[in-house]
Amino acid sequence: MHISEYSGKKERTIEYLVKSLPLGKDTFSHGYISLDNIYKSVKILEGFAKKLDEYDLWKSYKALCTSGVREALNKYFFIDYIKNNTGIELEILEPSDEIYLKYLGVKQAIPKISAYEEDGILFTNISSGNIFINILKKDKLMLSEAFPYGNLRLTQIFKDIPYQKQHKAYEQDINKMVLTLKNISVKKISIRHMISSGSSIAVLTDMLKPNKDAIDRKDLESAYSQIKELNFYEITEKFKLREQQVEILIPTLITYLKIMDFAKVKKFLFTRNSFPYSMSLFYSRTIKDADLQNRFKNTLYHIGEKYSYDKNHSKTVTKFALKLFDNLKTIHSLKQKERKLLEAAAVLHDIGYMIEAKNHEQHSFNIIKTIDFPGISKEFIDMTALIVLMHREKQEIYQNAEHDDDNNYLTDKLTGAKNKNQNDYYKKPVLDNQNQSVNNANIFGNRNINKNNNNYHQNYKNNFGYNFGDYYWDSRAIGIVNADNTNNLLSNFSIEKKLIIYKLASILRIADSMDASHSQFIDDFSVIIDSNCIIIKSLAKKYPYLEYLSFYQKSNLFKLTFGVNIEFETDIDFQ
Amino acid sequence: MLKVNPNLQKKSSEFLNINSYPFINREISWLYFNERVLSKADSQNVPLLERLKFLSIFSSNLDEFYMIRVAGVKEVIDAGYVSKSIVNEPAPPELLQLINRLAQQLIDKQQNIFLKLVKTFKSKKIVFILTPDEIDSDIIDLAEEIWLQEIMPAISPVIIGPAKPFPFVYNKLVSIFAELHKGGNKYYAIIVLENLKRIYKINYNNTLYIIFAENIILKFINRIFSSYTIQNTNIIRITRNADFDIAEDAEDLLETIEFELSKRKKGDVVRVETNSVLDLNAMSFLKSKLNFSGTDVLNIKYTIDLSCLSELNINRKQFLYKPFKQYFPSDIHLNSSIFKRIKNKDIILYRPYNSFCIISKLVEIASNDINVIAIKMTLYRTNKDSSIIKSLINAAKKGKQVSIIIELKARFDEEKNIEWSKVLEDAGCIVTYGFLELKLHTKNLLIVRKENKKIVRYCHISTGNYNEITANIYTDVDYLTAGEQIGSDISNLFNSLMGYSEFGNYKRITVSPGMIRNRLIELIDGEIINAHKGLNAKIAVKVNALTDKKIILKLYEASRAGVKIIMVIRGICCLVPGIKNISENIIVKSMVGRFLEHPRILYFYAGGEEKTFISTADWMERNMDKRIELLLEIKDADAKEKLMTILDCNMRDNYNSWVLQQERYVKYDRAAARNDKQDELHNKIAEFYLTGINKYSSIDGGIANDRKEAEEKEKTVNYFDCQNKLGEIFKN
Repeated sequence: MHISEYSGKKERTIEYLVKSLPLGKDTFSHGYISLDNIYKSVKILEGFAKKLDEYDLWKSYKALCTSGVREALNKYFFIDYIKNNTGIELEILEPSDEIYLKYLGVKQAIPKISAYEEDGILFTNISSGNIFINILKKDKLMLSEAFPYGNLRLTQIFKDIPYQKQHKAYEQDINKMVLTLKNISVKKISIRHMISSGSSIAVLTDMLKPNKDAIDRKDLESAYSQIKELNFYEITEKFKLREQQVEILIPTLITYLKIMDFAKVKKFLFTRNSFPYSMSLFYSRTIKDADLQNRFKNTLYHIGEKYSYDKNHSKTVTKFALKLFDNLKTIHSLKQKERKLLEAAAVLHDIGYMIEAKNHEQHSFNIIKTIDFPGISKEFIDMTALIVLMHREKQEIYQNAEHDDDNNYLTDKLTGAKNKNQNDYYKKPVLDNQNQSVNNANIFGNRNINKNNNNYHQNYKNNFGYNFGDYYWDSRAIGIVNADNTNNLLSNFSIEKKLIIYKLASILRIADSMDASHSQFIDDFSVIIDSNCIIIKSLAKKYPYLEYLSFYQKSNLFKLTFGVNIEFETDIDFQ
Repeated sequence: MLKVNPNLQKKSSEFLNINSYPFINREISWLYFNERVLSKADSQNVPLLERLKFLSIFSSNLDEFYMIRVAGVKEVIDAGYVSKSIVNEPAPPELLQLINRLAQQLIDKQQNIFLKLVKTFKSKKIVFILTPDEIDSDIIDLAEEIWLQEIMPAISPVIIGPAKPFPFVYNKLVSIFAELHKGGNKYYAIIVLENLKRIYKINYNNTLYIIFAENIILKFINRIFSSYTIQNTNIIRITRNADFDIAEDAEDLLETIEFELSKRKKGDVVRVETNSVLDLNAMSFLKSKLNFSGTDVLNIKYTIDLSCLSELNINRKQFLYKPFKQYFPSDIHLNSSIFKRIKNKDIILYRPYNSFCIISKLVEIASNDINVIAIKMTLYRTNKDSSIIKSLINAAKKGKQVSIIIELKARFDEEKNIEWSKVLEDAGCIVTYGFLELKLHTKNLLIVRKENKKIVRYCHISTGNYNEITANIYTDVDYLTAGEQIGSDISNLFNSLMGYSEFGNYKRITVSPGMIRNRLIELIDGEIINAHKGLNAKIAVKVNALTDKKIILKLYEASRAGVKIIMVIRGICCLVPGIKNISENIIVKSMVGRFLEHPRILYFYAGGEEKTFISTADWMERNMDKRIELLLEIKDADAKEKLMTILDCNMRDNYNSWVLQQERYVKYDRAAARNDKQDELHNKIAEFYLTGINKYSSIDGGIANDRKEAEEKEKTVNYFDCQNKLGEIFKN
């Protein structure tokens, strides 16, 4: 427990309390926290609660759980029990947030790290349950992984092996981790620096007593070769460590040595700052990660390159999407954060092509879902993935009459109607669609595809009560399953978030359509907002047939979302 | 690669063999200390009634010694440990003999002094009645009144027979044992003086008569056993083993201690005092009933258990110490401005020369201060009606978080502490009870105050207890600071004492168990290294006891290296000073005066840095290993100077001091004794140093004269050789 006082940006540590209770021992070996340890946790947290009383901090505290609780099957019971008995509300910290906080803590303690991010740096956090590894180079996050190899976890996995042989088991297991690490990281990446944090540091500093905040590989090596020969009690006696420290000593040493091998570094820097201290700084907004957005952006392109994306297309779509976003501010009324969401989705929207063109949006979605970027929330990633999934028109959304209000929100928003009965629900959008198709038909004259579609759609809707939007033919052919899937994915979000996804996906679709040929025929465009129509005037090198077709296929979601017609005009840019 | 302190490495290579160095046995050394207490009762310079108090202290000290220490030796023997553990120490059975022999000598000496005092008092019209026969016609009527009204209704005489078994005689109670005859048969009877005053005072004809209860009973004993012939009467008193171990798995410490306390009254007999020799039959009868051996018997020449003399309460000013004037710094005001004062500069106080009321008032001020959010305190021994406890209760009622750590195991105060803990808990304080296996000995107060949204911590670090009564009798150092690092350390200390945290990364304080001894050895090692380099190396120590073998060996090593060491050790000292090639550079002296010397002050020359410490820890194994104690280096220059002055005064004192010459304590040359006011001079000097010239004034404004007086007297003092030697250590 860390209690801080802030005057301005200045942190002053009022108190620091430590009570150790290795919950991970339960979790990593049995999968759940034992009742006995839950009682003990209550006892410890009761003491901490007294501290909250003392300084009147009940409205300004943060209590976070990491792997020991996060991975326990009975974590919700644990959290509930703690709340009922102590009043303390625990929150689970996701692994990427955990490493991000830890990384920020280290950055705050060792400012020169910012410079190292250019040279190549491996940041590791070895805690009881996980090993986090981040590799940064040229201000890009090259790798960010959480490996389930924490020191306490290892001792639990191999606890039945005789003591003298345990270190061999640890070595093998960590070798495997390093192998995985080699496989997933960019080949021939040169790492110049290594930084570490986490509970494992205390064991090393207590044993090695380094003068500076750095540990040399040779010190670790000689300590390891000494310790291998000693038994538990000899280690305790020789290094004056606590029993709990000795338990995790060997896996900790091995882990450090192996990771240093991988990184090819001779020493690593560390900070003695505790995790609660970093938490305090972060949640009080005392440390900010000024470079986060830049790093994230760099990393997005890095990921794109990894999947051999069409860089020009991606850049063009991103440019267009952002321009649309900026010009349509009065209509979508979204903020800077959503702009970043759009940017991320635009950069990555086609990365799934590498796997298969047919379902590339689904592959893009899957790839993006796996991105773990410290400092960027899981929700942000999930939303990005969904926007990308929806960038293709076959991923249409439908409204199901049987669905609850949440799922009907869109119609609700679009019609501004509330407390309508279900029949009313589906009338208006359908009418809107008809109107739209009329408009579309006017523009395209001889292309009656829309009208037909609409008829089909209406029939379909009348028969099944579904609203698939205009491009039923696509949706029907392959898309129903996908649409269902998209809808399910969407249902995880709140109404507000869903609307954001719709808005951004509709903008992305339009931007994407404007480079449908992937040939960058359109250089630039301007946006004119009329009373009930938005006109995009573009300047093209050639007549963009594909772009036109695509625009009318893709703009429908925009209409559905905003209830506003959007039109596309092109001037050919003659030299 | 592993960085090991080079000093520590050196230590292990030069580890001294405990068997080749001399030690004074700690029990024997303690008896010597009690002898010094006793000698105060024989000092011409101590007022008459105060001399009686020293007799009383001697007795109660000896009681405690038997109840705990002798009981311990006997347990060791019973457990079969009968051979020596260290070459230069006696084996336990031999030690028990030595103790009993020495104790008998001291008791004889005490009785002689008592008799001498009784004679002196008689000339001052205060008459002690020491035998029933002395209750003569002048006072017989009044004595009879006491007998009828006070004593007879309270006692339950028992004639031991088949129907009336030998009653249980509780610890420390005086009894009358009588041999009765009737019809050719012999009976034993016992009257236990229970729930009875021990001393009665009769004013008759301008004379004060002091009568012990047993003598009144003996005077009228015929009335009790009227149908018997009383053959023989003896006064006896038994002392029982009162030390107890807390079972390690004791779940609730509070309940355990309550239970153990009830047992204390019933421990094994460790000593039997009689006022006259019992005949063989009577003795074997008692032995069989009470289960003791012949060696446990101490013979008391005149009056058993003089500890009761402390209750005398005779108000004759000419026979008491002059009322003691206490000073307090003129820039301290007893209102909330005191916080600002502490923040400006650390405050050091020396009890009883400075009034302890500054501390008790500080708690009161804090309890009423709107900015104070929390008060934390350790409670080891406190007094009845303690104003501090009242303030804490008040603070809790005002919504402040009040946390108290009570040491239930404070010897002989356990019962009192259990009461306090209940009262405090009822008031809403958070009360915890320390640790099963560790006694809490540190004395700290932490006041947490919110000033302009910032937390400021005020710490009180003391060598003495929060006891307003003993604060006037014990000398102790009080240190007040709002320093950030100390505040953080004390906060951490409280967190670990309350069980909230295991974190103990202290920046300024050193805490035992574990750390203090290491720190001391490190400091002594520092001096040894300097001595080896031919630099000045000096250590001055004021503690109450020195028994820790590791520290003693380190001191011998230091002495051999040429470190000059002077130690003012009030009580037990197991180190033998002045032995060539072992301890010739060590001087040990002991001070026993009007006040009980209690602070632990340490000084290390440290190559000129002059590190000065206060501590709660005596240099004993128990303080190093089994107690929570604190050691703090005082860095504030003024405070440091004051501590050095106290040490200096202690070293230069020849009036209350003895010097340990190898194994015996020797008083300074009587022929060169200073005049009667010497005792006060020490105090005056202390006052003078501690109250300063400009910064402080006395409460009643009388400082100017006192100071002059003190200065003049200081000039007239001629030190003896030995003292010059002591003083010189600080001069060079």
